[in-house]
Amino acid sequence: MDKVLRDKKAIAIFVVPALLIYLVMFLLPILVTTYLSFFNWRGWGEMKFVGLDNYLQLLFRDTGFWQNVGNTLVLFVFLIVVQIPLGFLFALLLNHYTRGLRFFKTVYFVPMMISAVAMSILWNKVYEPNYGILNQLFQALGLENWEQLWLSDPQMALYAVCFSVAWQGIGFHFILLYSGLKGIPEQYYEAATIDGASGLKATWHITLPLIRDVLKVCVVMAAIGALKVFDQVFVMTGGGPINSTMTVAIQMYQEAFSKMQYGYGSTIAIFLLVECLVIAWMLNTLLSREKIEY
Amino acid sequence: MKRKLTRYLAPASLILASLLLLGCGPDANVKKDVELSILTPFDANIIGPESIDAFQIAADQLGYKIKLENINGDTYKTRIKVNLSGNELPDLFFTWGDSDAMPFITAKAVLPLTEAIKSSGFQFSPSYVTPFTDGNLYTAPYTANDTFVVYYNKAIFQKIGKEPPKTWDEFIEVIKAVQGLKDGTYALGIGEKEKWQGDLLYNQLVLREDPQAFQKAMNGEMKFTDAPFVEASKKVQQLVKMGAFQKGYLQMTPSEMNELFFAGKIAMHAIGTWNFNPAIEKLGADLGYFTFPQSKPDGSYMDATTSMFGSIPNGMMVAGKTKFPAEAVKFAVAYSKVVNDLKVKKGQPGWIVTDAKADTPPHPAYQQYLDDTPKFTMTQPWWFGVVDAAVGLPMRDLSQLHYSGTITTEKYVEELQKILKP
Repeated sequence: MDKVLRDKKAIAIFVVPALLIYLVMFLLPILVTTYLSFFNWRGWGEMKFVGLDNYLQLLFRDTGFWQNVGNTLVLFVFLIVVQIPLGFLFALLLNHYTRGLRFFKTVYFVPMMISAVAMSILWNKVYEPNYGILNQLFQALGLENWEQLWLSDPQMALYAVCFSVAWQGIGFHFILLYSGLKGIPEQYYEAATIDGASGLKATWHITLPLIRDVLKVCVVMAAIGALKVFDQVFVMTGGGPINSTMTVAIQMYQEAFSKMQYGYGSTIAIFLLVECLVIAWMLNTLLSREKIEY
Repeated sequence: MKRKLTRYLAPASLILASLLLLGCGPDANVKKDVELSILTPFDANIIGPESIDAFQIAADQLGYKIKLENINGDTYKTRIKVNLSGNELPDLFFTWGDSDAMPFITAKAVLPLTEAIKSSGFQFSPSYVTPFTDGNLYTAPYTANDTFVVYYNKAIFQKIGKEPPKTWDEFIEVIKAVQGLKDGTYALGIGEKEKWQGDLLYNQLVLREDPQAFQKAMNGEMKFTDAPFVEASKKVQQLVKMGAFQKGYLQMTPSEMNELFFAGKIAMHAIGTWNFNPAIEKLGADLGYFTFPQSKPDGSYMDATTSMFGSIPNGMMVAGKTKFPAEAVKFAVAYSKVVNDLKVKKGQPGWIVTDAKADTPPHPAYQQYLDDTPKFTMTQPWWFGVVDAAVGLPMRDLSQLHYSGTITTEKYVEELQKILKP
């Protein structure tokens, strides 16, 4: 093995294909998109160099853009606040109560296995105001006042979308956190019980610190998922009504492919990339701490 | 041995020579294996199966092979634009008319059909063969121009004891009467999720105020803040305020709305004539139709209607990079004729003079529409069709805001002016 690791040719044979794929599939598109962001281009014909004008337009003149950033941030907060605590709660429950373990593990993880588009169509039907199951349920329970225009009311639509996006991702965080919990040796809890710490205390002082790294991964994944969310929101609302659920990713799509403003769409794509990198770095920095050992 | 060799070599040489002559001759008489790729957003349930069947019929007539792909309309809009940017257009593809067709023409990505139409000998109605500014024709029509109509459910009208309304006031009375039923029936259907249905209704309302208003405003002879636009906006506000539309209309797709209309939950639906096909099938004898009501007390401007396209018809285009340019343009024109004849046989209007006759009498509602059609001396294309998509999409965003009831008429027309004539 050491001989192979010292052989530069052998290393190159293993590394080059992956490196090439990375360059072609990731770096090259980023470079091309950056290049396009300095142009005014309709997807055909002449490309007009506009310097930083697309960036100035995006940051200072496009009034809708900041509303879309706001919507994306609401989703960002919602996913972190809902997905991770619920995923953790389910992981804790299944870690303690092993009855029906397989069944519940499957139930929690099923939404992750179904395509986001299919899931979004399903939620559209749930929220449908005339025959949707949610309003029908409220009617059946005599709670007509609770009926809502879930996706048609601009005040309500974003939260309805956030809920369904969050719901789909809970299973992912549950699996990560459950694996983290399984990695904590039972002796720690036994020692804690002898010292009088059990239940919530043990969770707070033993479980949480020991799965801190897993939690960090969950937070970063949830944050990036929220910032670049597209398919679910696009299928459910298309960014409407009256742009109340418009995210930065949907705006990017609309500018590039509906309005055929490829240059401006590329500018939004670069913003999205930088935003994801900055927030991921910030979260990594904020949540970094020396590894705890007991 | 030598004799034996000669016996085999002589005919073999003859065959080889014949093949070489056939292959190298300037007019080689070997038919090429033509296979054309075709991409459309056609939905047989809406536009009728004949529009899709006609591809194979035309291919069989010409001895070509085709590879047909039909995809969802919204997906199609994106895909065909990406195909254009990547210079990967299929041999033949569908386009909506006017400004939707412009990118393909200005990018010089499509072939003119002018010569193929001329040499076909088919006699097209003049409005379908108005040349583009460069003197060429680029689309082979696949349907007659769609216009704006109002469909209604006769059973619901019978229940409320009303006749199809002729004036705006009567229209409002019908809405109130449907609301008076209090049985969950909605007065007016609109699927505003994709933002275009409300836009078309507003276009028609403006036309009823003044058929020249849009053109004048675009030419700068009038403003979008002038009376016709304001009055039309007030009518939209009136409909929104009185709750004329079905529950959840802002996020309902046109097909979801259609389902409610076909299920008898909605009394009226104002939209294009393409909906006749599914409406006849689903509502049968309960389907009625009327011309959009008049706004002016004297009944003026009832000879005008809004329509799908102006100068460039919706239809099939041929990609410039096709491997079979001559065959593809010939196919596009042949397809247009086949689908024309099939539609005429179904009792629908055609765009090419034909000997085909209707097999069965049209549905009464459709017959009434056919009888009304000659009365329209002026058709105005829907606004979105004549403006660039970069302008049209913000206009439709504004339209959805208009239908949400959260913007005043004054603000709406101001914004409209800013978008259409900045």
